[in-house]
Amino acid sequence: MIKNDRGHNWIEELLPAYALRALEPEEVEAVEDHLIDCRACQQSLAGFERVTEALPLAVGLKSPPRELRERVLRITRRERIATESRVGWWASLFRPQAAMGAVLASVLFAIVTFGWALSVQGRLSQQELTAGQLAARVAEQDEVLGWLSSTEAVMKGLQGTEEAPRARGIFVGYPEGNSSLLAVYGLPPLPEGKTYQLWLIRDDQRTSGGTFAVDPDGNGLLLVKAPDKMASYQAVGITTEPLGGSPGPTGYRVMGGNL
Amino acid sequence: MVARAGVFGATGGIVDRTAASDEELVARLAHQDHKALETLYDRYSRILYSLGLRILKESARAEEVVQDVFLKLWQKPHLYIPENGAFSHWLLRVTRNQAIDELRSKKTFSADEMEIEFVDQGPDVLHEVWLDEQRATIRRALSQLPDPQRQVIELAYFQGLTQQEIAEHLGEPLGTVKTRTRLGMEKLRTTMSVSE
Repeated sequence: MIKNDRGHNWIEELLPAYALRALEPEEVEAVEDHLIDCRACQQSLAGFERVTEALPLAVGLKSPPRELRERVLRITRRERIATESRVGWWASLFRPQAAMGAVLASVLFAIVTFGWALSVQGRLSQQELTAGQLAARVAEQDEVLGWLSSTEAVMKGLQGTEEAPRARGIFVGYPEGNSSLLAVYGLPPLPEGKTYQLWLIRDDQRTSGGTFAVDPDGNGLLLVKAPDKMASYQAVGITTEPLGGSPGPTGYRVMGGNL
Repeated sequence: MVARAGVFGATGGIVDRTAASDEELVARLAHQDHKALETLYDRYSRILYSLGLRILKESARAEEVVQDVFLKLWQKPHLYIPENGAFSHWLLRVTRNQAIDELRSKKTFSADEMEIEFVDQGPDVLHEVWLDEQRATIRRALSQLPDPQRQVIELAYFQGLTQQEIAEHLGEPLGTVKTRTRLGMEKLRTTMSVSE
């Protein structure tokens, strides 16, 4: 490690290369330590930084292909539409006075818009789907669309715990069926190696309802496949677990609610 | 910092002459104003692409860098903090860093790519006086440097090499590289400050 005791003159000589980002890490550290207290070096560096800022202007100019403009604008426009759709959908889900029909329509919209395997389970990219997986995906969608469109679907709100006080969730399902849809909002993104896991609770017993990830905004969706009728469960909870899930809850409880 | 508008000629020679400053346009990005992004693209795509091309030497990779930079700008406009300096400098710095990361991730450089080249490959259409002057100044200042000094500065800025790496690449003593870097940068600083 280079100590900063080699003096002002030594640091001053490093400033041009510091401005060019051409120093070794230990030299950078020494310069930055020195700069904290040395007004003269701060002023000297400002002059070198002006040079560095001007260097990119010296390149020979060449126009990019027209297609690049179209591509950049197309990508960003598409992203804006997706964002607006997502925001609109979540807003309707969490509006207290939202009618059931509107919520179900929103969920249907989410399924159609984002695709089941892509954003609900987040495990497979479209390119990776085999014919069998694709068929299973379509069957899954058909099933969910079937019970979502029935008038007997039930919606329950979920609340974040102290671990995730701003998180909210919604659980939509058909009581006599085995599948439900979980939608969450505001859950903190997890570190690598962690996942969220849903637990179906009955008489103090926890059964896994599946694992899911959330996007950078904390939004996540999960199609829940329960071993028994949904009506047989009294509550649900969500915990953080190691990637792949756990046989029983081991991590912090971040959300829950009665069914 | 004075807000400036209409810096660089757009793709295909279309020139942006709207009154909105860069800073105003970036603020509008936070509200998903796509028109603001279009305007910024037209102002900066040419210089950003040219910088990417200068560093990466491949048009496809330079296009990728420009695309990534604008996508990031669209997604995270708050990363630009006006109090820290002009938007144009920030955007050029982001582009340079992105291109250097790309360069370091995929390649080793060859001697051909080290050639110093400041010749324009297209019509020079800078429509903002302040930056146009700054561009002329830095190009003139660089052209007046002795080749060895210009070379080490180029290797550091456009190839992202440290002085140690430059010394190894050139087969020169580290002390020589340090001296060339310092002398070259001091001359450039003097020239730039005289021109201000």
